[in-house]
Amino acid sequence: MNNFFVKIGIHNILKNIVFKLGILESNNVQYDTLIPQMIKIGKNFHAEPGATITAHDGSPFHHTNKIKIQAISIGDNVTLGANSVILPGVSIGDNVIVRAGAIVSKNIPPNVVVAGNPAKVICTIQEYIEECEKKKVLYDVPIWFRNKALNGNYLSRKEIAKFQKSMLIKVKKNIIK
Amino acid sequence: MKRILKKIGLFNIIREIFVRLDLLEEHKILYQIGNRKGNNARFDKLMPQMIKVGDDFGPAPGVAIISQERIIINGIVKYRIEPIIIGDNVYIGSNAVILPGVTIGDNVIIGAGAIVSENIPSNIVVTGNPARAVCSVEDYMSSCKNNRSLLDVPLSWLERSRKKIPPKNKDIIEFQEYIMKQVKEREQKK
Repeated sequence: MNNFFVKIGIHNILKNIVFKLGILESNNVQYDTLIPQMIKIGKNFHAEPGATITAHDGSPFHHTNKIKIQAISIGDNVTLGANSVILPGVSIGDNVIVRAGAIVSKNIPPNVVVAGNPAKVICTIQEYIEECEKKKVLYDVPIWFRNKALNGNYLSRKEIAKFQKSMLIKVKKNIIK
Repeated sequence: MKRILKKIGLFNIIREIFVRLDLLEEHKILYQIGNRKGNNARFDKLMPQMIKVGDDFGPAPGVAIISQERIIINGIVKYRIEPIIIGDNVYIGSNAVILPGVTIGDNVIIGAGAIVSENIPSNIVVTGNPARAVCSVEDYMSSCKNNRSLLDVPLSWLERSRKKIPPKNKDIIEFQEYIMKQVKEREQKK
């Protein structure tokens, strides 16, 4: 765990990562650059572009010459939506989906879907998955891709093209039905 | 020494060629788009084939168009993939997000920071999280006219945009001067 958030800090400084798995742009999550050490993230973390995680608040600095710093902890299997913001002092449980544009200012229990400004619980994860399965929009992933996704490896451009080919066949079959 | 230097030079040139080729591959357009190919929206890179965009597409910086979502249940990875269809003459404000499975009609204005999670009919202005209809486009245009915030654009700017040539510094300076004239005239009238 210790190594993990040190890595995040290094990533942020060098900004030389080309592609992180499932992530749409080179540096999807804007981690706190001032004190990335305050951020703890679990396994299988996934984020869409524009998500920001801030562990400090500089607003009281001009009034008191002090900075507000609080730790952030994020559990396993968490996904952050595009342009979502996680504010200092928040702890998020396991198996949580933060939907796009949500601004998370309070703690979140495990196994829920969260959205809005300020973020509120919409439904449990199982309800969300059942809804998706009714619409028939959930797809299984090839095994090699799954292994890479859960080990947090980076994808090359060829692998992405391979993934797209295999998924497009499935999607087209489903739409014709 | 000269030989070594020459070798390094050759090596650098070859490496640069490979890097440029890679960049070209990265900028291949995999989604369907109308006549405005250069824009600053962030399209999905994992499943861009699911996105269809019409003519005269105008996104502000920071817009994200996402056609895929990852869900993990008890260690099983699944992807939710749905197509996105955007009509003609659509303007999207900065930092707006368009979620998978959304279809947007023609002549739509989407406000800054809007999160679009449901389908939008044509000729409507939409804002908020989640996005909701505010008024029709005609109402919005009439309110802009009442504010006197609509200004004319130089003819050369119109011609250039019709030819789909990106603006140079010269054009931008001309544009700014033309508009500042109008603003000063408006202030004098008041």
